[in-house]
Amino acid sequence: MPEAQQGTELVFLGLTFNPEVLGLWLQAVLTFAIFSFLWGDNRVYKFAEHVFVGISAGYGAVIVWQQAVLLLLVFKLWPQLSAKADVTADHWVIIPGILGLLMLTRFMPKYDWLSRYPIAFTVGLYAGTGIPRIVPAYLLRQMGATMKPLVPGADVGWWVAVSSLVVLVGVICTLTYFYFSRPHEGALGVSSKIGIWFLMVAFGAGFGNTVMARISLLIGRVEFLLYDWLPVWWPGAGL
Amino acid sequence: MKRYLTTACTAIVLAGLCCLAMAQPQVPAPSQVTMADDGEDDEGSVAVITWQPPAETEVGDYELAGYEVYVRQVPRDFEQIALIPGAAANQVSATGLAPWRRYHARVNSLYVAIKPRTVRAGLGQLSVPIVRIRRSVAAMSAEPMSPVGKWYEPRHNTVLVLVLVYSAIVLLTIYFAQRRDMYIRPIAGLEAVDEAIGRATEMGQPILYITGLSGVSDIATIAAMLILGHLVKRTAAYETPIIVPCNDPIVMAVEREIVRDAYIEAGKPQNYDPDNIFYITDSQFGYVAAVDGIMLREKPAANFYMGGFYAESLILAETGSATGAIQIAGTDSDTQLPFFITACDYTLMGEELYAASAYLSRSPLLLAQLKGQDIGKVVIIALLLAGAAAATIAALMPDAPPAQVLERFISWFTLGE
Repeated sequence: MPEAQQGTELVFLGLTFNPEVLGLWLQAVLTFAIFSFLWGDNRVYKFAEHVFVGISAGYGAVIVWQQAVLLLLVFKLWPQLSAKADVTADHWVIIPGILGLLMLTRFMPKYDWLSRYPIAFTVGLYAGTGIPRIVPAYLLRQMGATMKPLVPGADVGWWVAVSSLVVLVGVICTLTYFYFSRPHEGALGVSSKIGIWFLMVAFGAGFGNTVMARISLLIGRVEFLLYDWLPVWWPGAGL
Repeated sequence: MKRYLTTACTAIVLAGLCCLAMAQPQVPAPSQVTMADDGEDDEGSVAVITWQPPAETEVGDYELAGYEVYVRQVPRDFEQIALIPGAAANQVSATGLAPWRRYHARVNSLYVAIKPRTVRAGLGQLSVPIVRIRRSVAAMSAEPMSPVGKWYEPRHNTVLVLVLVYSAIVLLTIYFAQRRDMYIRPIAGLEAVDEAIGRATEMGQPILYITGLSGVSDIATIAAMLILGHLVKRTAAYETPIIVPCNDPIVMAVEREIVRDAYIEAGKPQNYDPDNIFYITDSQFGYVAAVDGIMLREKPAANFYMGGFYAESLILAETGSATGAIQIAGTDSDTQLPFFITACDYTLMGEELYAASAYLSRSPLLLAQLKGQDIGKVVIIALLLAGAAAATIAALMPDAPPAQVLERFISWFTLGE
């Protein structure tokens, strides 16, 4: 803990620190500590890993307490506890509140069977509400987008017609690859082989696209080291 | 004396200005403000606010320019939701409301000076126009209203029909499946499960099982948890421990239940150790850092990645590959499949993950479900071919009467969008 704070500088054990510079050093050291994994597992990486996991777990706990427990439960039941004037009571939250408390019975072996109720409720709720959400998004709209004219017409050019044909063939062949209850022989075998080719082409494109995104993350980290951190201790670096 | 005189003159001037301001006629407010449910089949988040515009569109040198609309949820304060231009406007939709809550609406009319004043400002003495606005008193809705959430959305009739048809197919196949054996084609990733268990048992090392980061709401996580149960039943006899680090506390709780039941079913309840299924953090990369550490220090002989994955997939699979573990992945996250295919020994793609539970258990019930899904795929292929043919005919003969029927057939799938 700092002994005193003078303006923008922190004084700790008689030493003066600029918080911004301290933050930059901390980020840089932790970045190098994580990168040290490229050399192999080591104590520095272990330290950074534990700091990362500990801080993220602690931060997550604080967020849950602030955003869920207080905001969505406690302040809804007892609005007078909130510092904000416009918080209104909502006693319906007592139902999810009780379900949440039942989860804590896992710590009591005699009553831990009670925790199955909130689990069943959660799984059932998500499975049920998922159907009207997933069926239109992942099935119907995709089907609708596949049902396109296959020959050129008044409003359809050659290229669009060919693309539609390729998409239709690709979708049907890929579906046959995921046909499990018959051996993949004969026409089904040929179709599923074409389907796996379509899948691999799509995966290849996805792979390249994602790798580019990952490289941009690396560039961001290297830019931080070169342009933010390096000038702090080497002002003449001129980068 | 001079000072008193100055003060008195200033007071008189200020009082005169105040009287002048008060003497200006008040601009008229809109009337008959009402707030009502929009009547559409929605979840009760939209209400329509209507009002009667004032009869006088001009007051002095001001003309009616628009309206300010405010809404409040009782007993909170009013918040402006819209600024409507145009004297004739008389309606606006309030969105983002909570169903069944009580709301009030308030509308002010805004009058703008016909001839804007100008002031000269700056070094160059530029002429800057000043828009003078006068606001009426607020007209409020008489009674609070509550938007109505609907229990049924007709727009999703297609979804209901398809779910009912599909359920009927699955139920019929389950009924018929009890009379005969069902074939399931070999799936390489699942054939290798026994190899992975054997390797871990021989080496005396644990198995690491990751169920992804999607949470319990994802179908892939549910499939992954079912596979975990089957895996535990197979490993229970060999006393090979399975480490299951979780990033979701609910998933962890469900997995503990599944693993405990699996050990009981395998007749080895004493081998169940709840400490092997533990929560780390819900932070994506914090979780990855911890799992990487487990891979390097515990040296599991087999790694399973089943469920929904995001950017962490390659980091996990690459680290696991570096430790020399046999790796089997399964996910429906199409953007992550390429990374698993690259870095793992076997990968279950998409629906292979959902089929895994039936494949491993060979339960007639699950196999029948799989058969039902296959029939569903045949129906989908038939519909796709019919739809493409319909679209082609409609494109070739746009004026022919069947074209409209065919277009309606296609729009049925797109929910009329």
